[in-house]
Amino acid sequence: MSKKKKKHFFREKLPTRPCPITNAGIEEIDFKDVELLKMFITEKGKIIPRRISGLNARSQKRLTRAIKQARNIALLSFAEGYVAQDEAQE
Amino acid sequence: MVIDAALTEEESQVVIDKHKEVITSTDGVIKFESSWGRRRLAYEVQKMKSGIYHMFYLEGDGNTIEEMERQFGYDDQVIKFFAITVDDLEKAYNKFETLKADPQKTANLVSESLGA
Repeated sequence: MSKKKKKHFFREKLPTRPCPITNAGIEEIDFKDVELLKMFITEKGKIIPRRISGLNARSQKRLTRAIKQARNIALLSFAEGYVAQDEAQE
Repeated sequence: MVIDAALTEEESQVVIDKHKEVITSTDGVIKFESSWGRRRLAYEVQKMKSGIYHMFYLEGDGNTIEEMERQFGYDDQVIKFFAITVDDLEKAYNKFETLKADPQKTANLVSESLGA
C-alpha cells in the first residue's frame, strides 16, 4: 500500500505578449474613439476580459471607463455592440 | 452634449448658443468647441434615432458645471450630456480633431501591434 503521492503539475509559462494599446503608443483612451473601443467589445456589446484582450491593467481600466462613457452618450449600445454609421444620413 | 437631430442647423446653433451663454454667465470660459455633426445613436433615446453631437472644452468651477448640467436637464432639445475632466484642454481638442479626420487611425495602430 503506497501512499498516494501528490502530483505536481507545472503549467508551462506562456510567452508574455505586450499590451496592444501601450504597444501602439496610445496614452489616453477617449470615449469618442469608437473605432478603437469597438475592437474590445463582443458582438453583444460586452467588454472583452483582460485575459483574452491581453491588455495590461492600466489600459484595461481606461478602456472600461471609456466604453462606459461611450455607452452613456449613445455612441455604443448596451446590448448590441456597435451601430454602423453609414445609415446615419437620414 | 447631444441635441435632437430633427432640428435644422440654425435651430441647433440657437441651442448651442443658449448653453454657451449659460457657461459664460457663470464665469466659465470656453476654450474650444467642436461639432461632430449628425450621428446615429447606438440606441433609441426618447424615440430618436440620431443626434447632433457637440463638444465644449471649457474651464470653470463647480458652479459652472452644476448650472450647465441643470440647464441641460431643463432643455428638451438636449437629449444626452455629460461632463468629464481632462488634464490638457488643447491636447484633448487636437486629439479629437485628428480623430474626426481619421476615425480609423488608432484602431489601425492597435491592429498593427496585434499583428506584429
